[in-house]
Amino acid sequence: MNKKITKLLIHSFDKDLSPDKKKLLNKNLKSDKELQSQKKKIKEVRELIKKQDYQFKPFFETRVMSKIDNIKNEIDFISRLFFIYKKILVFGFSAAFILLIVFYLTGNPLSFDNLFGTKYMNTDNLSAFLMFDN
Amino acid sequence: MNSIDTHDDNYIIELVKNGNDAVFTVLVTRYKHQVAKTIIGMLGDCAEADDVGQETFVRFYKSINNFRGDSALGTYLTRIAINVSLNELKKRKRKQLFFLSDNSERQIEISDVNSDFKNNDTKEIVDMAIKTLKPEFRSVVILRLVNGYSTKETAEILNLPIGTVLSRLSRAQIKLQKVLKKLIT
Repeated sequence: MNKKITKLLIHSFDKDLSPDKKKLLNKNLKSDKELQSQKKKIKEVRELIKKQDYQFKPFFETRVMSKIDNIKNEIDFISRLFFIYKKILVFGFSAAFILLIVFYLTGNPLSFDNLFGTKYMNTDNLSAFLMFDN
Repeated sequence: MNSIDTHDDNYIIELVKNGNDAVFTVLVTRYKHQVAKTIIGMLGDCAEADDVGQETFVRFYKSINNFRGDSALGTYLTRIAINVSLNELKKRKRKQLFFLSDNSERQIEISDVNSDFKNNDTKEIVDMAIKTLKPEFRSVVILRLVNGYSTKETAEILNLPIGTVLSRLSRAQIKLQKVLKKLIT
């Protein structure tokens, strides 16, 4: 059997052949018994595959909607967390801003010592502070 | 909920976009069969197929604001279903590499189908025959023959040239003919 004609035969199920190709295929189909049998077989295979039907198990919608609910809850949690972080951030920035103004008004330079009040502390009075109760 | 069933997809999608999530279930009911045909056809009737089905609808729900309606909703969902199924098949293959005993995506051979001819019904045999195909061939067969998409639609869903779809279909049918020779006259 001609390979080109067989290819044409298989393609004829899935696309419209040009008039010339259609004519060639029909001509061969009339004279070639093997090609006729091939056409029948392809048709049968396609019918078998087309008959396949698949379904999800019952209550599929419920499972999908419960998954979506879980996702929504997660999103809610994240947005609430973000809201809290936003509050903390605003509070932190406000505190830092106030501190900067205080430093500016008092004329002290911005340093670790000034920020935490360790400017007047040395190792001697630190040990004295830790060893003796006031 | 019953009155909403009669509305078209775009109307329901707009409702979901406006926060009425409960009506999403109408879309799931409407398209679950089409999605099942794609996913179970690709993966077989297994527990993961149900999960992949859920994942398909969840992905659509998450991206519903990006859905502009350029293609029909069924086609859009089938595209997601095919992509999620192909990912699942890749995952299975990776798993098979690490755990040699995992047979979930073992390539089924023609001999396997022939040995099961007496024990199974036609549907199961055809299922096994489809599973003998590699994923790239299986996807065109499922979309074109099981889902009934045209060759052009199949090419669009898989993002392939029409020529490639035709050649894959042709090779797949030749193989299926060999595998199913006992079922055809």
